[in-house]
Amino acid sequence: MTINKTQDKGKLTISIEGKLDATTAQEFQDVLIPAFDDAREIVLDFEKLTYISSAGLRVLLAGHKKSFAKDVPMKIINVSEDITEIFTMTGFASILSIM
Amino acid sequence: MSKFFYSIRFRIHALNVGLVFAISVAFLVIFLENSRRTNSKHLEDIAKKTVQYLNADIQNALAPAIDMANYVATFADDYDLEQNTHILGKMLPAVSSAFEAYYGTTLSRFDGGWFATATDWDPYSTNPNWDQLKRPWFIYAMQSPGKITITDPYEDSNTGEICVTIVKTVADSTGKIKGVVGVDIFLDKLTEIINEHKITEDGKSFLVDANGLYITHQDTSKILENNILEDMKLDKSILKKQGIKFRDGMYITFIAVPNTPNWHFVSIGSLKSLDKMDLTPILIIIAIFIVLSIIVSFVLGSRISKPIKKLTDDVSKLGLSDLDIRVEVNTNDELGILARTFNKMTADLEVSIETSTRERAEKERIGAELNVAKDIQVSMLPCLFPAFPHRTEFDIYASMQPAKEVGGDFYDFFLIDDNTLAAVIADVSGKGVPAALFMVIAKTLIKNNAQSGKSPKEVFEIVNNLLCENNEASMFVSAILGYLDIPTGKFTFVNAGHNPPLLRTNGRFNWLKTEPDLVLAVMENISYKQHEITLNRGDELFMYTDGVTEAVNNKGDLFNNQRLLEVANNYLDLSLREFIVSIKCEVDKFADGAEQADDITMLALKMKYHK
Repeated sequence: MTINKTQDKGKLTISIEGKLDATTAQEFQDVLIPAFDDAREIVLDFEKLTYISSAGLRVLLAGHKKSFAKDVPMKIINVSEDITEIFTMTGFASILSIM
Repeated sequence: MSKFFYSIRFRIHALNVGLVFAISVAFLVIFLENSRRTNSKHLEDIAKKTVQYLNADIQNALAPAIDMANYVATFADDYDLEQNTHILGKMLPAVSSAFEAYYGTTLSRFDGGWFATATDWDPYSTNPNWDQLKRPWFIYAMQSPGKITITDPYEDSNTGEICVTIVKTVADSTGKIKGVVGVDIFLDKLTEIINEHKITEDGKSFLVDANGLYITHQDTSKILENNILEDMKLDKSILKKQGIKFRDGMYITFIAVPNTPNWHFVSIGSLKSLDKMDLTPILIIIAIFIVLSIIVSFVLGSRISKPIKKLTDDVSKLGLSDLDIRVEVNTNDELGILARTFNKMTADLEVSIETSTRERAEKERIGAELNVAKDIQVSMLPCLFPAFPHRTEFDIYASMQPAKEVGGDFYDFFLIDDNTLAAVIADVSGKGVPAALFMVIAKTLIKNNAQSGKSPKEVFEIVNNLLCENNEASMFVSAILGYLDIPTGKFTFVNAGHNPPLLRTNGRFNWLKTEPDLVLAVMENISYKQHEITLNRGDELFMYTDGVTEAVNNKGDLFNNQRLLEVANNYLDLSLREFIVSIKCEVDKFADGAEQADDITMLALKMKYHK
C-alpha cells in the first residue's frame, strides 16, 4: 500500500493505492487521524484501492468519529464496485460520505 | 587462514635476523666493491710506475752513446770518413758494451758523409745503394729533433732481424744538427725486458703499437702478427685514453709509453693476489652482529609476545557460558588498550546477553499467555458435536480456525427454550488482544440478551448501544443473529453488516441477501431490520466470516464470493461436518501455502424435518 497526500489550501486529499488490511491499516490511521488537526476538509481518493478489510474499515470509522468531533468533513471519492459492495454489506455506506 | 601457523614471536625473530643478515650482505658487497676500486687505483699506480721505469730504461740505454756522439760531433767535420770511422770504431764498442741488451750502437752523419757502427759493418762499401737517410732510425730521429725516441720495429739491414732503435739527433756546440745516434734493440730482447715488468703475479705484459699490434708477446709468433684489440675484443678507443678495464675477472691496464710512436704498455692480470684479502675479521663481525640481534630479538620478542600469549590464553577461556573472564594485561601500549577494550566488550556483552535473555523470557511469557488466551477463546465456543444429540429435527455444525494470533471471530448457538435455537456468527474488526477482548464482550452480551427472551432485533439494538459506550478504539462487530423456530422451520434473523449467508433451498445454494444494516458498536440507537425465512425440510443455511471469502493466495487473489458459491454447490448432500471440512479444504487448496491471515469461521444449520 502507498499513501499520497496532496494539499489544496485547506483541502487535503489522501490517495491510497493497494490493499488496506490488518498489516497496512495502522499506517493509514497514522496519516488520517492527525490530518483532522490541520485540514478543513479531507478527501479520501479510493480509485486505486483494491481491497479493504475490517481493520481498514475500523480506521475509516475512527476517521468518521474524528470528523464529527472536529467538524471537519471527510469525503470518500472514486470508490470501486468491490469496495462499494463491502461498504454496503457492512452498512458503512449509510454513515460515510461516499461521493 | 594460512595453512601454517607462525607465531608473532617467530615472525619478529625472522624479521630481525633477516634484516641483520641483509644489512651484513650489503655491507660486504660495498666493502668488496670499494676494495676492488682501491685495487684498480693501486694497479693503475703500479702500471704507471712500471711505464716510468721502462721509459727511464729507454732513456738510459742511449745516454752514454749520446754523450759520446755529442763529443764526436764537435770535431767530426775536421776528419774524413775513414778517419771518423776509425775513431768511432774504437769508441763505440766501449760504449755499447755497457749495455749488453743492445745489439749495436750506430752513429751517422746527417749528410751521409759517414756512418759508423760498433760492429765492423760498413754498408756503404758493400751496397752502393744503401742510404742512411731512408732508414727508419734516421727518419724517426729527425721527426723529433733533440729528443730520445724509439722507432717502430723494422728489419735490420745488417742482420736481417727485426729490431727497434732508440735514436736521437746529434748537434754541435752551436746546436746545429750534425747527425743521428742510435742503439738497436732486437725484439726478443725487448720482449724479455717487458716480460719482467709484470704488475700482477699471474699477469702478462705486452707492448702494442698505435694500432694494437703486438710489439712484444710471450708467444713470439704473435709479435707483429696479432692484434690485442682482436684478441681481447676491445674497442680501438681504448688506445686513445689510457686506463683500466675489468673483464671476466681480469684487469686490463693500458698505459701510453712516452717517447714512443704511440705505444701502449698493456698488462693483464686477474689480481687474485690483491683480491685474496682476508675477509675473516669482517665475517666474524657479521656473525657477532647476527648473534647479538638474535639475543635482542628474543628479549624483545618475549616482551611483546608474553602479553599476547597471556591475552590469547585468557580469551580462549571465554565462552558464552562464562563471560566473567577478564584479561589481565596492564601494559601501556596497544596490547593494553586491546585488553581493556576486550574487557569492556565482554562486560557489555554480559549486560547485553542478560538484557536479551530477560527480553526473550518476557516475550516467551507473553507468547505463552497469548496461547492460553487463544485456547480460552476457542473453548468459549461450543465445540461438542453433535451438539444436541436428542434433537433430530435439525442439525448444526460449526468450526473456527484461528489465524496465527488471537482474533475476533466467533460463533455461538444455544437453545433459548425447547422450540427455539439461537445461532450467532460474528467478526470483530482487527486482530490481536483488543479484538479478542471485544469478542468476549460481544459474545456474552448477545447470549445474555438472547436468553432473556428478546427478539433478535431487540438483542442487536441493546447490544449495539452497550458496545458503543466507551468504544474509544472504534472497534466494531459484524454479526448475524437468528432464531430457528424448530417446530415450523421459521428462521428470524438480523444482519449487522455481516457477509450474506448462503441458503440452500430446492437442492441448491444461493445468496440470502437482505437490505444491510450497520455493523454493531459504530453508532448508538440504530434500528435493525428483522427478516424472516422458512427452512423447509432439507434446507440448509450456511454462514461464514470474511476469512473464507477473503482468503488470499500467493498471487494476492481473493477466494471471493463467486468461488464460494460454486464450491458450496459442488459439495451437496454431505453431512454438515463433511461440508464444512470440504469448504475449508477448498480454501486451503486455493491459498496454496500462503499464510492464513484471518480467522476462518463457518456455521451450517440444516432443517431435517418439521414436527
